[in-house]
Amino acid sequence: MKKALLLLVLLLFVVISSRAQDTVVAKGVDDQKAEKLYNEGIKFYDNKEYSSALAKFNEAITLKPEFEKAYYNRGSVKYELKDYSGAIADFDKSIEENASNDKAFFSRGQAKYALGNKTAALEDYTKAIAANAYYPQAYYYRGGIYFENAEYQKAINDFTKAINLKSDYAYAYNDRGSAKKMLENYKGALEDYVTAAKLDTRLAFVFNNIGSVKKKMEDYKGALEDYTTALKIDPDYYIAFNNRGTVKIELEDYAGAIEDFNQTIKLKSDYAYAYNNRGNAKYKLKDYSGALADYNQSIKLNANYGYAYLNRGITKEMLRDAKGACEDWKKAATLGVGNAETYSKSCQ
Amino acid sequence: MRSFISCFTFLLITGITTNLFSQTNVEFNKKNFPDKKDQYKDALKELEQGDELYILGGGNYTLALDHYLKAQDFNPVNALLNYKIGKCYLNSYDKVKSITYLENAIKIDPKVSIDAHYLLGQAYQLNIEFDKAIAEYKIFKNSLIPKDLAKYSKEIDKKLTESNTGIELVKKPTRVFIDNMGTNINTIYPEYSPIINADESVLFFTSRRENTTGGEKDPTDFKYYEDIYISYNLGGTWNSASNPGKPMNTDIHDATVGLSPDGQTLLIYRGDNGGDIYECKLKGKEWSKPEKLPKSINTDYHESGASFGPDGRTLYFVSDKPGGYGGHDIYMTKKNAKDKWTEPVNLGPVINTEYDEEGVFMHPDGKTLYFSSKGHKTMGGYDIFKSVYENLPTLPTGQAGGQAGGQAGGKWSEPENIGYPINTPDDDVFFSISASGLHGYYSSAMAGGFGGQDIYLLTLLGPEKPVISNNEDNLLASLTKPVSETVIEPTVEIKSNQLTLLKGTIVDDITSVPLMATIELTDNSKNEIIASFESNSATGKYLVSLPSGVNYGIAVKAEGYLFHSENFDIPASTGFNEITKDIRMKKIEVGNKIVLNNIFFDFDKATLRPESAAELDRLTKLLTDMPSLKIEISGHTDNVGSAAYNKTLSESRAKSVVDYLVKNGIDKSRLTYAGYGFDQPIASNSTDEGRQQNRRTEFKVTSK
Repeated sequence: MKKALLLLVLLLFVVISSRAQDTVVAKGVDDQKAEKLYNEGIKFYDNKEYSSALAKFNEAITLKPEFEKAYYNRGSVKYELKDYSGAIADFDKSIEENASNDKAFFSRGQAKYALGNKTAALEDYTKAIAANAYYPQAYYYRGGIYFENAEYQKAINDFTKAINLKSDYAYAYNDRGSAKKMLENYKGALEDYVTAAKLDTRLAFVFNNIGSVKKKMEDYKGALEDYTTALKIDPDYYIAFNNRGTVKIELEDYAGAIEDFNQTIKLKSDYAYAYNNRGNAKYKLKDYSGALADYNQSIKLNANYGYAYLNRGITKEMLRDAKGACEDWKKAATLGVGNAETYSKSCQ
Repeated sequence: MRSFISCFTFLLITGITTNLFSQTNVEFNKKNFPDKKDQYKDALKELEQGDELYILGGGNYTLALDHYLKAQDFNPVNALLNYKIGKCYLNSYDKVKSITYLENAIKIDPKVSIDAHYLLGQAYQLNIEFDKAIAEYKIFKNSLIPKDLAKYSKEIDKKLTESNTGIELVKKPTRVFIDNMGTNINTIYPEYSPIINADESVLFFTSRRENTTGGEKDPTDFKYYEDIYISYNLGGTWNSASNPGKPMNTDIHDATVGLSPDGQTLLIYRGDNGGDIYECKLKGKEWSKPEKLPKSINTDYHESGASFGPDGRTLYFVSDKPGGYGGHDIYMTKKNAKDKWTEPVNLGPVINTEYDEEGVFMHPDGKTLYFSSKGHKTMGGYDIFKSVYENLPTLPTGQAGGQAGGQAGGKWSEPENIGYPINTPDDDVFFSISASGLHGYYSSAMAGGFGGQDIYLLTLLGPEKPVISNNEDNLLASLTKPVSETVIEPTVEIKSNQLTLLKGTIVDDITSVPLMATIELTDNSKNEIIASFESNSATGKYLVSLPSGVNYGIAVKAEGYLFHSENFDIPASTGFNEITKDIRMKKIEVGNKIVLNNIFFDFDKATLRPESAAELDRLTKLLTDMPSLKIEISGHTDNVGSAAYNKTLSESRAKSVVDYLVKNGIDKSRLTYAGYGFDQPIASNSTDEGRQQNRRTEFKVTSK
């Protein structure tokens, strides 16, 4: 959890540094009151005193309604205050004043994304790129949306452009690795993840991803080491515990796997996967009643968890509860688990 | 510290054992027992009595043990006695008890007998200690002089191969629950050779217990003569097995070997004429007097196992007659059009080996053969194997196909060991399996039974079902929400047996009295009668096994009744199905009508399809046999399309049937036809199934 927060902070930093626009030089003839207020606003912004910053930008805009940079900055402040619609209105105004404002397009894209409008966000990133072809963040975030849309090759193209513009862009390497993984190019994925880890040795999730791609490549021992590294960086990274437990099952270290799932559950007590997976380790140890209890808990946490039903059915069969097994397989089959469909065929 | 202690313990133990056996061999010689003259005399007497039985071999080995063990109590350090006790145990039910004695014998005197290591190897093999067995066989092999080596090396090498097979099979056991069938089936006496019918409603087995018919024991092994016992499955529990007595059982050996899928024809083994197969039929509630199968099957040699194909017209059996591949082989014979068994054919070298094949069982699917063999990849003694008769994709026309394992047009798959723990290093013979393939029945002398061999129910679980784990990763650095990993489910092959069991009761439509009826199966695409069965006259029950891949026309006939017609078109890949269909037969009375389910027309036309020939011929025969019978043929449709169109179509279809009958010699005056369109539905027109039922041809008796 701590890791996730750190990640968020890092992200915001990246965004802010790209957003904050320079102070304007108050010069000559008029009293430049709007510019002064604007500059004060930036100081508050930098100190993260967003409400005060907002007040200053408001004043500046009242005095000087065509003050494009003030709109942009007020939009950024509203974004920080999670007033995304307000932010979008300000970025709109900024763009109205200056149609080649790449940063305004980019930031509006971020705000739209925050409102869940991925399509519009993608359009804005594209416009940002049109205004400025040397804008690595715009490529990176657009790549992210392509990834979420399962357009992995397009995502790879954008991540590559981001990397070409910013050779130490660890996140872009990581995300490109993930896109390659989704396309089952595990070797390529591994290379990218490893580069990301070299560029930034503090990113636990990158090591986790290295582990997971090695698991895909059936290098379970290698995966185990990488998950362990991830956990050294972030001892509360429950995802890595869950993943390490799973490779321990593959390595037939069932007791060790159970230990890891216990840790996962300690860190995230409502994690249905961890109960299911611990059930699997217990099943492998022929502790069928222990496994059953775990699957029960898993299903309690997620009543539509198909694989937990599949596994519980398999366990019930070993507990000589053929009827219960069949009920579970039939339920799993309705949830789209293909093997369960096959098993339930032999039900009488 | 720990290693020091274990080192010390090791010395202590070896110290003791060395002490025990460093005493050299103590001969049974009175000089060795000066203080125990009387006890020595008694022991010597036991030893001699034991030796007399030991020399006779066979069942006498077990009897010799009683005497030898008393002598052993008196003098436990005689190498030869230890060896002999070991050998006796190896030939008894308690085979693995031989291990201690053979080990002792060798420790006391490594040269106690030339084959001591060989016997010990066999004992280890039986105890699933294959590594030790291999070591002993190698010692034995290396100790042989060239002349003996040449003679025995093949036998020893086989044992070595078996042990290696055993290592493999034990590593990957067959997933199965093994349950003793309990005291309604098993007793302290031996029970074996269980045979289940297709739907697991009746079980036959052989036992050697007190209430054997005649009450006598076999003088060769001093056990009661074999008798056949029957148990019925009543609502999920097996009732107490009963001895049907005479005529099925006789005063000597009567053993179960095979059963038809419907459980109404039993194949029996009797020891006369070198061992022959008999057939015994259930007529109503009584079992008929067993009749010996003809000479083409029963030779002067040993015919032992036998099993019917699902058509009841194919028989697989075991014989050691000359001309085979060695030992007992499996043969097949079919009934010809005159119901005579044709000349048997050896199943060939894929199934039969130079060693013995035994205990044949054809699955109700008509293509999966289970049998026991001492050859193939056995882990010792007989193991049970499975082979599937696969039709070749394209059958040359005119060549008889492989239904029920014919020789032309197909081949047997490489026999597959059905695996440990069903198979063991000991003899595993007689295995039968339900039509569903979920349950097997076999006998075993494993520990925990009620005595001797017991019958066990196997719940076959199939290949391991992998449990599936789920994971997530933070795939995108820009997103805090983790992404679930896509799960690729491992493929699991669950082979379902490809057959449909059709069963039910046949009764009179009005009185509901059970009827003995003939159930005739036709392959509609070939217009060929495949098989015919009878329902039981007392219960009206019937069961037919329909292997997948045939468009079955089923005609149920009984004297004085209109025939009943059913159609089951079962594509080749169809898995196991069980259908219960109770049939109500209608008397030949004016006004009674039946649906002709095996009359087929081209789509939207009145043209009769060739698959209808068998049904039309049945109809022709009925009219020929009953010259006064007058009938109306009627056509019916579903409610798709206009009333007028359907009426015309149904009428012209009915006319087509009448035209066929007239062309085949039935007087026009006896036939009328009508098209009712969709005016007389017999099922709902709102489902596919209902509409299918409504599209039909019927006939009605208009005059008798």
